[in-house]
Amino acid sequence: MDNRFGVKDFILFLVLGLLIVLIVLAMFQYDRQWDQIQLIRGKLDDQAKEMRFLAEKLQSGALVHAGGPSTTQSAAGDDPFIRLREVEAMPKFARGDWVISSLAGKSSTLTPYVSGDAYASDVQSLVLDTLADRDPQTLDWRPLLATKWEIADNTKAYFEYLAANPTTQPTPTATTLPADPNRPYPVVIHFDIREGVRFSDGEPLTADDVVFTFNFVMDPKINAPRSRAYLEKIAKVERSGPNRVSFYFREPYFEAFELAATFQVLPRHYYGKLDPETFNQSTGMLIGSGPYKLEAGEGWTPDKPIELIRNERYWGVSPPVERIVYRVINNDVARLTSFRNGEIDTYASPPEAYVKLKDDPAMAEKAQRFEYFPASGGYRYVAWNQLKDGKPTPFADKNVRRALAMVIDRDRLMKEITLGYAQLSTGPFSPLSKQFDNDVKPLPFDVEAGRKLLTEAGYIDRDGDGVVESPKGEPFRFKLTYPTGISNYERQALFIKDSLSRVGVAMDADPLEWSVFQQRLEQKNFDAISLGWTSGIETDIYQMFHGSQTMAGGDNFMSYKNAELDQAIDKARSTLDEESRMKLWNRCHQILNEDQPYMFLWFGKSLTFVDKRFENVRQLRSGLTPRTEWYVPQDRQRWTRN
Amino acid sequence: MLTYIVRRILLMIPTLIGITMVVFFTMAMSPGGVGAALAGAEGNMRPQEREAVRKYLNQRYGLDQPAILQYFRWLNQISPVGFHVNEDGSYGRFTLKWPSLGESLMRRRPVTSVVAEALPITLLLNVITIPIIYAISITAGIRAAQHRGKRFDIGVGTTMVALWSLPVMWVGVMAIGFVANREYLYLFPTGGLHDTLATRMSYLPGYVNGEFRIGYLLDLAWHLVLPVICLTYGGFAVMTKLMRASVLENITADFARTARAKGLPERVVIYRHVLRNSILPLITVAASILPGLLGGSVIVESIFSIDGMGRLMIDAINTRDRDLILSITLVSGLLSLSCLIVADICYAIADPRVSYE
Repeated sequence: MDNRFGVKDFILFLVLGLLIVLIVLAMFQYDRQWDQIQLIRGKLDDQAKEMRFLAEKLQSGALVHAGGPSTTQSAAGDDPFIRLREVEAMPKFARGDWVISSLAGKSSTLTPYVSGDAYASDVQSLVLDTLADRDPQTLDWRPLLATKWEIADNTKAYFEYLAANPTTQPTPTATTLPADPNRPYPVVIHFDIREGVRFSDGEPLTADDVVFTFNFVMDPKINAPRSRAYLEKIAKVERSGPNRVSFYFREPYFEAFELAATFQVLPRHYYGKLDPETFNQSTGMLIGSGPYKLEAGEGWTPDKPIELIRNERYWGVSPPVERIVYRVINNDVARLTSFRNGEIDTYASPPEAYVKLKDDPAMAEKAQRFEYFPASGGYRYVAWNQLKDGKPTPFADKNVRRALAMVIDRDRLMKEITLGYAQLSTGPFSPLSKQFDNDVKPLPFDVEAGRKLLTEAGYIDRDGDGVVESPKGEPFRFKLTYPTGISNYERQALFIKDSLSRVGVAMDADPLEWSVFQQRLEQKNFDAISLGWTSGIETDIYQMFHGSQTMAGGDNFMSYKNAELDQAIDKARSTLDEESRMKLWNRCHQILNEDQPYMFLWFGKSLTFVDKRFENVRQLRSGLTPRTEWYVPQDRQRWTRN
Repeated sequence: MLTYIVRRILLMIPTLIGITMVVFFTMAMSPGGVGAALAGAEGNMRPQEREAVRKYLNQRYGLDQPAILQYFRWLNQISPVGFHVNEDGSYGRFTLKWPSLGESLMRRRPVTSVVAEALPITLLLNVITIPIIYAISITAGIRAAQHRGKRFDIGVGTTMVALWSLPVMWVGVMAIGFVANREYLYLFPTGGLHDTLATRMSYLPGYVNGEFRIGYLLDLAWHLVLPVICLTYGGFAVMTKLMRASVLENITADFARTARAKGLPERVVIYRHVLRNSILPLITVAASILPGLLGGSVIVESIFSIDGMGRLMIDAINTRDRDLILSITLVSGLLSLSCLIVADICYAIADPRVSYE
């Protein structure tokens, strides 16, 4: 009876418990303060460095010209900031305020070249600079870190050499030729690096940094196989003058310039001292010369918010928005509610929701909306497998493929699934691209003509069971395979099944989980599949349609071969001159629409809402104006008060 | 007793090997295998990159080797004694070494740091949720037993079962749509754990220039309200029913009658004598759900954009992130087995009739 746990003991435990909780809270508080102190210390160091830099400049008697880096321009057309200067001249222009973007998932690392997700690459594009980029309106290249460039086209000499030394002919399986010191480099691109550019930590950017970045990424110990897949085409990058770098290409490649120009430059003084494993496992090692920098610096970890602040040392015209914040919101309902609440500034809507939202008065009052084809948009297709288990399938006949496409009302299918926010596609090229041939017209929706084509190909219902049979008597029945989890593939499959049954072709839906789906693709073990590819301003279709890519693991998984197309693709890929190349791509477009290796379905539009306080959000050829050109007039600024 | 404990602990090793083996080979034999999902799971992958990524992964993690070999490599990696791995991936001599949980294939980071980010969040949610569930169910259960068959009993029973039958997914979405929406009730935030401005807040709430500042801690609490409601409301029914049944069993027992006959007030009878005897089944239940807590709640975490263990595990499974799945399995397996041992020991301590000699 004496040993009972009494009220006094209870109070004692309660007090002890409270004490522990308080100590833990205090520990957290100190931890937070520690982070803040580190941040402040970093900023102080930074400022001390800046002071030293200025002092040195003053002592050496250099004139600090107000114009800054613009002195290196050779002509007005070379100014990469013409658009921003126009924005600055707008009547209500003001600097300040934030953009809060939402991400659908968390980035596990922001370290450049290591990270693989689209979220991280969006952040990196604001922090790292490239040698050149495309003007969002004209889509022409404009100089950025490079002031000018020179493209040496030795393609002719290269092919002559290859013809003289036939042993080194490329084979379909080997992507690169064996090393040969005598072989001329088919393409060499020289860039003049801009002077006076500094990284966000104050160190100058030189040609050495460009060379370093290339060698660094090509080190097999660095976890960057994706980037290396492209950069492999470059044999070496060399410094060929005090401010000049040269990119030597192994093979003539039409995207050579894009590859070199969009190469993100890393500072050597920072990354050079890291060992590969530290770099691979780091989360926030993101330093560049771009208009923004990561506020948390290298101490960023995935559990912290991603916040970019303006890089005060930016060499060009600083963008108006002071801070770009990313919030992770996983589900669409919460994302929409957050947008309505003003917690995020942009909202990309699925078509079903968009139809309702566009007439919603509350949304109209708070947001501007845009419907546009994004530059990196993709297309949906159905691919017909022409060779299964070594035997040709009914789809090996071009007329059968054309017949199936004509039997299906693709326009109505597109309207049902995308609610009309798309464009019927006739090939793999984006309607924004010059590769797209405007004279190519989609196959008509004509059930009778389709039926006729099928009959001509020998598919007739011989036993009267409603399913057509081949001349050998096999019924025309196949499975349409598609990945599970996305509801509209389901609806699409039902629509196609319905349409095909009208001409006596039996189709079964075959939804598969993503990894199983991938495996089937690899083994070419399917009848027909539906999927989407991302496209771009200029797309390489070699991987998907070239006859050599029918080997195991290649993306020509439907075993499609057309000698004329192969030739056109090869020719286009090795042609550097844009005009003649585009003609070749246009020819590819015609052949693909004629041959129907895929039933091309549609290019989707992006449907985006942007908060009304932003000005200069407009629709350009490449999509919306980049966030670096948005601004908020003084009286509407929400996050910064002056 | 000591030999028993040592034996049980040694028995854990083959059990854990068994558990991980099943998980490992299920993954290895599933269609597509380990590497397949990785090739396309990151989104936006252009066809050119697929092959390169696959080659790199095969070379780095040996994904193209026979499954059994891969499993032994993994065992060697997590074991504190084993072969030392050299820089170039070859195996050196047999020594004591530092065990490692490996590297997440998808996130390209050590598993320990990935788990270290998610685990505290899940623990925080549970530390708040469990006491709430227990406090409410215990009080409700006792009262329901005391007023058996009366209005309170029926009312509580019906409400709890009604709550239990509401799907969390629906409640969560409704809560965001109405309670967290500026056009309706804007009482709580829509998701996440911190406000956009949280990094600039002071830690504790307070008044600055006569204006109330919410502070980091209170902001966190404010963000936790809706997720915690969603996590708790469904848990009441089972616990309340369990408590009610257990109290009913004891309320008419001999010792309770004796206590009443002694002239003790009803309050003392219930809370001192009956409750003590009835709470045992709840403690047993607690021991068995503890390892489950590690799993977190996938649905609530997804709805409110909270990055806890539940989402981590689902992500890992979807992308077949081998080392991450195995590590979570290993840790939760270890925890379950330890809890079982502790429970067995507790029985022996609590009940003198139980002996393991």
